[in-house]
Amino acid sequence: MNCLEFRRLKLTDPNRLTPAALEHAAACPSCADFNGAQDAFERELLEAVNVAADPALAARVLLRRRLKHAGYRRVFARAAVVLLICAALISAGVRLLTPEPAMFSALAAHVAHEPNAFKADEHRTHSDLAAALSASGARIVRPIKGDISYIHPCPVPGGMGKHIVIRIGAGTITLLTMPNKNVYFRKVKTHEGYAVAVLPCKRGSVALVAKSEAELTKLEAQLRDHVQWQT
Amino acid sequence: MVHAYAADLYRFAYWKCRDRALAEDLVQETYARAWAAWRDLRDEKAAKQWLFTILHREHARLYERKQMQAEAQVSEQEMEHLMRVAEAQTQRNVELREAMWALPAPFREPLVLQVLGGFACEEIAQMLGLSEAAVMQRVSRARRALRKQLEPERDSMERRS
Repeated sequence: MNCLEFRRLKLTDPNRLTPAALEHAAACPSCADFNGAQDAFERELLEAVNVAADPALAARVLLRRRLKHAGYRRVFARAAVVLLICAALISAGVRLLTPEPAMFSALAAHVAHEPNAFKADEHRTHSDLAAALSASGARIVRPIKGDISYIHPCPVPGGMGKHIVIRIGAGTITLLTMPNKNVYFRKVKTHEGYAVAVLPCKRGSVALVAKSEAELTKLEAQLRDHVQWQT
Repeated sequence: MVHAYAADLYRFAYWKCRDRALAEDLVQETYARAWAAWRDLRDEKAAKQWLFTILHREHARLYERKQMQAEAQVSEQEMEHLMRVAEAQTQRNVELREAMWALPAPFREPLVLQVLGGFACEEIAQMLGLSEAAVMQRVSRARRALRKQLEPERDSMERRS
């Protein structure tokens, strides 16, 4: 290595001299002098470059990260609370807006304990039926091709309503109007050998009761052609 | 990682923008990006070089325009700070810093990385997206320029010998 190469190397990376360069510096007094002067200059340079940094800088960096994480945690916590509240409200709403199971057993028991309603043969008119349904806000839109065999006031869930029996085609359907019992969704349940459907009316609700769910579905469909429950 | 490198990152940022507030912002952004991309760091031993590279890119992305404005117009607050620092330091140190600022940024930056971070030319080349030869040439010229400005007699004597 010659002096020029040594000096070029020293100026390029003063702290990473090769063994050959160190050997040259040891043998050449002029380059040794250059080496020492450059090392002194490097110390001054380091001192100059080393501008004062705030000792609290690292703490501030970490604090910002913690705050950011805390922010995320807060957002997730709030979202979880909102979800829980929504779930609770939906659950309560569904429970409030659909008929409770006890209502179905009461309605089935009501029909089972009044067998005379099935045996009755009162031949009531469509006007009687219209009047009986009017308290619930239901409206007859087409005359029913069947025999309205029984209409009487009865205690029903929510207060007083009408107990109506209609023979349509091959089946018999019982209607229990419940003007003071609100439901918002149709629901069907079978209890004590009776299929009971509760559906919303303009005012309150109405229960349709038949011997089986298949018969109930068929008779309910026929009734739907003649009666508007929610006008 | 923060305690080990925050101060040096701040110094590098300061030598890039000459604005203490911007330098701290750059350090904060560097760590924010580093944490977000922590999985990209394959070798934790390379964390220092990785952080300096992020800072260099962040500066290029965010503050290059601001830096030009900052260099053109040093704020009053900055001047006061420089005065306080100058009072506490030797005349030589102040001269050296001024000489550093007088260097063009493409020469100053690799030199700061080498002196401050202790990086090799190869590492600096990777960080700044330059060839190793270009880095070697720049740091060498930067040193010559500084010595020529601060020690003109010695420099000319050494050139002759």
